[in-house]
Amino acid sequence: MGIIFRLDRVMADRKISLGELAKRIDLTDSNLSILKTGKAKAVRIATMDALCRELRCQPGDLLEYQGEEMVEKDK
Amino acid sequence: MKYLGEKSISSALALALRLAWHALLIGSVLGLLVASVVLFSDKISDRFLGSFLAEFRKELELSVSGRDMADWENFVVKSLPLRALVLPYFAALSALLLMILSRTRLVFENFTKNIVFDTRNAALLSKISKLNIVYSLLVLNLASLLISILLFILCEVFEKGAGLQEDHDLTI
Repeated sequence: MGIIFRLDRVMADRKISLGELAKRIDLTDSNLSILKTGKAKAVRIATMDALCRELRCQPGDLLEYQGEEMVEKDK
Repeated sequence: MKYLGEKSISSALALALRLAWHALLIGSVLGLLVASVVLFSDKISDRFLGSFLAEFRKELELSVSGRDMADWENFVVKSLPLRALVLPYFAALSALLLMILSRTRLVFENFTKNIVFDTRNAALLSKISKLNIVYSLLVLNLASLLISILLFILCEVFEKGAGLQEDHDLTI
């Protein structure tokens, strides 16, 4: 899949730990870890809403599309 | 009434199937031993065990009646190698039943652990239905064959369910 979740980058910018963010948005550490490592198959609007609220960002800051043609352009 | 989880119908069935598996194993071994003795008693009984086995054979002959007796009379006049084919036939049936029972028990044990829509259950159901097809062909039972087809359909349902469960689990 070409969509990458950039949660780790935004979390590093905001200097917030996984446990702290999980507590703030009422998710379990393991579920947030699934999101962070890109293993998630889908994200609820409510989860995106909570993430954007706590990380003070836009949904576009958390998601990035990397299709095959884009990867080739980067090369 | 609880169907899944601890102290449910599934856990009771898992326990019943475990007991049935052991009972069938003991019954099959004993049955095969008795059948071997009865089949080969013509050759060995008089020489090694005296009149005991001959009497046992007579009692066995007396305990069956009517059509069964006619079948038995037809059977005993057959040559020994032909009669001996009964042993691998019953051994194969017993082995098949034991495998079906053990896999069915595993499915119900998974239900007891609340593991329902899982690829492991789908694989177990697929194996059970394949074994059941072989069993129904051996005993020439149409009802058993229909159950196998239903199990194949159920297997597909479980595979689709496992996919949906995975989607649900990975939706954050």
